[in-house]
Amino acid sequence: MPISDRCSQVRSLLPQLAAGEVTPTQADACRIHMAACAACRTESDAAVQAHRVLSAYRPAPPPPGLDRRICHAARATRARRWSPLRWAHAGGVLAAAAAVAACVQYSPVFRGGRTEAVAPVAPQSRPIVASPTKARVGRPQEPVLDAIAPAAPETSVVKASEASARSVRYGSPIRRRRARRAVQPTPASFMDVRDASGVSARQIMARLREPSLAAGVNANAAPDRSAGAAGLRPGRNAVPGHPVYETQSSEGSVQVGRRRVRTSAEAGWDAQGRLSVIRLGAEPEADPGRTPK
Amino acid sequence: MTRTDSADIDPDQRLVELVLRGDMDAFDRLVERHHVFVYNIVHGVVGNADDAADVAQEVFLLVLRKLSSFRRGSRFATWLYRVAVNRALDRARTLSRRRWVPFAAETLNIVDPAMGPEAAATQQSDADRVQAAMAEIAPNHRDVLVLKYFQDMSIEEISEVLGCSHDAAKVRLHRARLRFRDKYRAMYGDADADF
Repeated sequence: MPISDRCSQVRSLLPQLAAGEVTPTQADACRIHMAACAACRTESDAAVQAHRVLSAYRPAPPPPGLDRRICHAARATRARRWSPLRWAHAGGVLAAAAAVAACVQYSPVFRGGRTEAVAPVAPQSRPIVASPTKARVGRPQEPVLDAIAPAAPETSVVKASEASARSVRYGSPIRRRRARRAVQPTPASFMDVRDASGVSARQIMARLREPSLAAGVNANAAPDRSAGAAGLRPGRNAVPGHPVYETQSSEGSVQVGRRRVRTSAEAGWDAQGRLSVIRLGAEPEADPGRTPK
Repeated sequence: MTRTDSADIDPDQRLVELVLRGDMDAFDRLVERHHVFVYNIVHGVVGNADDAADVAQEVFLLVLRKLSSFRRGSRFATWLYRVAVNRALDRARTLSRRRWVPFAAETLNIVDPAMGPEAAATQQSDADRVQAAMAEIAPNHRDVLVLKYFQDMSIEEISEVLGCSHDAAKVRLHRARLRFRDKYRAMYGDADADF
C-alpha cells in the first residue's frame, strides 16, 4: 500500500514522539492521524518499543580494577618515555638494521639479491635460520625455513692484517676491493654479522628475548590478545609452528657504501602476548647504472 | 572566558593544571572521576567488554599525552568524551573489518536460529537484545545512541562531544533511532510487544 504524504510526515516524527521531544501541536496532530491509520500506529508502537528498551538499558559496570590498571599504565608510560631500556631497544633495532645492511654489502651469500631471515625469540630456545643456499636471487620472497637448527656459536670478527689494511686504504680500486673482501669475515650465519660497533644480530635477538624488554614492547604495541585466546586464525605473517597473532613492522633505508639498502624489521606476538618472532629483511635498491642479470 | 572562570565552572580544570605540572596523583583522580563514563561510552560503541577496557585505557593514555593541547576554555569532560567516542569508533570500524572478531560472552548471547521465537525471547534479557541490535547498526549511529540513552546527554551535550552543530546532532540521533528501531524489530519482532 503506498504511503501517503501525511503518513510520511507523521512517521518522520515518531522517534521524537516516542521520546517526548515534539511540540504539543505536533503530538496532537500525530495522535489524530494515528487514530485513523493502523499502519502508522504499528510504526509508532515499534518506535515506542525501541525507545523503551533503549531508555531502560543500563550499561554494564566496568571490570573491577580498570581505574587502577589505567593509572598503572599511565605511570609506566610516563616512566618509559625516558627509560634507558627504551633507548636500548631503539638502538638494538637500528643496530639490527645496520647488521642487515652490512650483510647485503659484504656477505657473499647476500650479495646481489633480496633475502630474509627469520629468528624466533621467546618461547623457543632453538633458532630457525634461513638457508644461505636457498636464500639467493630468484627465490621466493617469503622466508625459507630449512629446519630448526641448534644455535650457531658466535663467530668472532677476523682481524685484518696490517698489509690488507694498507691495501684497503692506499691500493688501486681493484686491490682495495679485494682487500676489503679479505678483511671481512665469512660469518656462519647472517645472524652473526656484526655491525660497526661489534654487535651481531644474534646478540640483539638475545637482548630482545629478555622478558622485561619483551613486556615493554608488548605494552607499546597493545596486541590483540583476545584473538589468540579465542583460538582464531593467526596473523598474515605466521610462521608454521610459531603462531603469531599480531605483527608490527617497520621499514627503513640505509646507505651502505655506494649502495642504498632497504631494510625491514618485523616483530610478532603469540597468543599470550609474548614476543615471538623477529624478522629482518634487506633488499638492495636497484642500481640505475647496472643492468639486472 | 578567562582561565579562572573556567576553573570555577569546570571542577576538572584544577586537576588538569596539576597533571600538566607532572602530578600523577591528579591524573589518578581524573581517571577515578571519569573512567566509568568513558568505559560505558566505549562499551556501547565497541560492543564487547575486552575491547572496551583496552580502548578506555588507550583513551586515558592518549589524553595524558595530548593534555598540553587541551584548550583551557572548554570543558575537560567534553574533550575527554570526544576522544573516547573517536577512539571507540576507530576500534569499532577495525573490528567490523575483521571477520574473526572475538565476541564477548554477552554479545554471543544472540538468538539461535534453531530456537523458536518464544524460547529466544525468554532466554535473552532486554539488555542482551539492545546490545545485539546495537551491534548491527553502523558505529556512527551507535555513538549518538550511546550518548543519548546510555549517558543521558542532552542534544547540546551530544553536539559538543561529537563536534557537530545542534541540528546535525538531532538529525544523526533521528537516523540512529530509525536504524535501531528497524534492526530491533527485524531481530525480535513483537517478542515484547506487551509494553
